[in-house]
Amino acid sequence: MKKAIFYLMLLALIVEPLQAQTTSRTTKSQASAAAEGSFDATALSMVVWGTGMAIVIATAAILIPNSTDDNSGNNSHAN
Amino acid sequence: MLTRVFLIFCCLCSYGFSDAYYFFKPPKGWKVANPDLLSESVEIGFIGKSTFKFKPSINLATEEVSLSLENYMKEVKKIYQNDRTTSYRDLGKLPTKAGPSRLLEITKKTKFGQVKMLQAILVKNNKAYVLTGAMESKGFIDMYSIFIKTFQSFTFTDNLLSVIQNVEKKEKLKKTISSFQALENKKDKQKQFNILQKMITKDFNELGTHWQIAILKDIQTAK
Repeated sequence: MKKAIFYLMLLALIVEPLQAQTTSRTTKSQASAAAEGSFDATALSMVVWGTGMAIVIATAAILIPNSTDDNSGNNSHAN
Repeated sequence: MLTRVFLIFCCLCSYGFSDAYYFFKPPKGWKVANPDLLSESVEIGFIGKSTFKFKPSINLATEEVSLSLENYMKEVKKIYQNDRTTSYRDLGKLPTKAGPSRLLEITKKTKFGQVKMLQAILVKNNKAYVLTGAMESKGFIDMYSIFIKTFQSFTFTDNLLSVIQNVEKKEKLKKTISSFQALENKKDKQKQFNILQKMITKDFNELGTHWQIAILKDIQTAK
């Protein structure tokens, strides 16, 4: 019985830090969408019109997979 | 009996959630950013024109989360607090078509000048949706209402066709989609898809480019 209690305590000691580690890892990765969103928004805004912008702007062929329509580039300019 | 009812209820709920689509309406004339250049969590980005040196941009980032909106906001604020080049202001709640979001104003110093951003954050069904609009400080005031209007257009729907108001147009599109789905020959399918693409880009401008891309992707990936 004493042995069983000892093992249970030992298990608790090992599991608790592991759980804490996992939680902190989860917390760390949370909110990465907000960080990446602001990073990309800044980067996109900083591109000056010209040749650089041609690379930044997409055509419908890239956005819609398997589309083989050569004339579909107008999709991104639909508005 | 109760267990069965509960299981059926759970299945129906998960089906409904998994089928949810979301989109926002970017300002007219804004161009889609090349997705290859975007970060992992950023799904789509748009770039606008302006008389300033740098251009306004809006993007949508998403991620799976196990936090409530309040706790997610705490994590977001921690990120900005730890960045010496960045300061932020919590502007409170912002209602969107998809539900209430929280709005942040972020100021970032860069090598090329100061950038101001608005960020609307929404958490729903264990997923965070982050809309970010950026503009250099000088032109930010002009862009403020445009960013807010765009954020407020953020919508969830179980069916992308349901947001079409014009019944005639909706029925015409439904028929074209059905005939596309009925085809088996690859060449015929591509031809019909091109017709669909032209129809959606021409006849549904009022729903915005994000909706247009979402429905075309959905039509193509649907079995």
